[in-house]
Amino acid sequence: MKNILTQLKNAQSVAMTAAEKQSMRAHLETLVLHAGSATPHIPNHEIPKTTGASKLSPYSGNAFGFNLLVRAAAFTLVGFIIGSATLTFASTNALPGDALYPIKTKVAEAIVRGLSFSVENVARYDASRVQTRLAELQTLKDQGRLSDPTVAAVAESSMTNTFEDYTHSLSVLKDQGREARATEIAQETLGTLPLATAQPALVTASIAIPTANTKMAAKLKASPAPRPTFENSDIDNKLESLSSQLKELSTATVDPSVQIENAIPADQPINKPDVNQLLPDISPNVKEIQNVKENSATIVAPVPSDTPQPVQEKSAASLNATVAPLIDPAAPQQIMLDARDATSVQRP
Amino acid sequence: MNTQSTQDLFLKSYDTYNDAIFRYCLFETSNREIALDLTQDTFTKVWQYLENGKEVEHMKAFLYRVAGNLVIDYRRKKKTQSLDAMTEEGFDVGVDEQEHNEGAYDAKKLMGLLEHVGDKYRDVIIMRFIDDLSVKEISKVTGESENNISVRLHRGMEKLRELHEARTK
Repeated sequence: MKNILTQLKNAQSVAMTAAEKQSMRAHLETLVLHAGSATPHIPNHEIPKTTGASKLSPYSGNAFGFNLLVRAAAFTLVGFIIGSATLTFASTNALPGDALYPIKTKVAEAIVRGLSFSVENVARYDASRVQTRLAELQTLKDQGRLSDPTVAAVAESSMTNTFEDYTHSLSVLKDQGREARATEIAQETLGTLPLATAQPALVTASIAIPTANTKMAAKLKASPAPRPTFENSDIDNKLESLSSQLKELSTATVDPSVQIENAIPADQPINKPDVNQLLPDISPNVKEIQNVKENSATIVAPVPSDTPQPVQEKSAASLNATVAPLIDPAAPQQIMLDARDATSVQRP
Repeated sequence: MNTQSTQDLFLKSYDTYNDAIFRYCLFETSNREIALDLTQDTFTKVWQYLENGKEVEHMKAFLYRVAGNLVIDYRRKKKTQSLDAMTEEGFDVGVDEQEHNEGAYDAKKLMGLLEHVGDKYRDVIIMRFIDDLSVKEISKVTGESENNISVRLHRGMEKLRELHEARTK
């Protein structure tokens, strides 16, 4: 084992190579010889300095004559656009009651609606919005959020507004003399409406917000103008039935079962179990239970009091007899005496 | 002091202390290329100092102080790298001639040990035992008392011995 001091002394042999020494000296000599000049020549770190008069990079802001204010404004505008786009995109899946829901219904949908060039496209888009509202109601119902009156109110008002837009755009189409086209769109869209799934959601919503129902009915009654009338077509009938269903819901009694019964359309039969059919199956069980009750009463009565019995089989009368001394004010002493006797008897 | 004499003094200092400063930088950084860069930077900075008309009382101590500051800057910038990892990558301790193979081997082992001694002990050990600076000179370089330097040298060497023994066992 070599001594650590010897190792340290041996380390003194570590040095630069002759070439390295020479190269470094040459560099330092250059530095020393250029002493006093404004820009010393440094071969290893030669970086040409750019003067103010040199050509500007096309990437620099000033190359295009932009001043700081214009650039700041441009950045703000770009930031605003990106921010708005992000918010709008984020609001796609928003539900009534969410913070982004107004952006979805009042901004995002309004933009798409405004960008539609023809009334026909607007009507189609409105139809898809009605479907979106129904889907939202279904989702809210699934998540159990409809019980919140605020959420339910937002959902209801949004549904009403969308439905009004839809009927209005159809009526505009009709006013333009394209009644056949309006009928076609209504048929297409209403035909594809997921009524089977949407109806229970509507019913639940109606139960959750009885006050909102009256408002909705009032709105429908007060604004008959936007609703289109299509002669010789069943679309008008469908719209009529939908609004009448909503009215019924609003005026229905508090009993939810009645509301649901009224709300379900006639063409959708309910598989309601018949109580009378079930009765015969249950009645033998009921009779059996009654028999057991009677038998137990008769069994308990004749048992003699002095025979040892399990506690569970004691009749009500015998229990009363045991409990009675406890209620009697004079009883505690007696019990204590009995207890003493018992212990004295048990001990040898 | 006129320009010519300053230039002469500076180049003479380089010729005298280049190896010492290089060794110091090498054992401080365990990296040959970095040590070469730091050595050149040390002399460049000293020249800039002299060029501004300032005087240096003790050139050797001043060179070590400048080199020490550059080493500290380097350590702050760069994360420490294991010597073993560097050796695997092909790092070689620069030895001037072939017959110093034994010395090179020792130097490698020594660097491995010095890496674990701690900065304040390593500095004084390198200056005292590798570069042969006196305690007085080290005191001038570091700006601390000679007594303090002696104590640090003693503790540093104890630590180095412990490390050495632990490795050779």
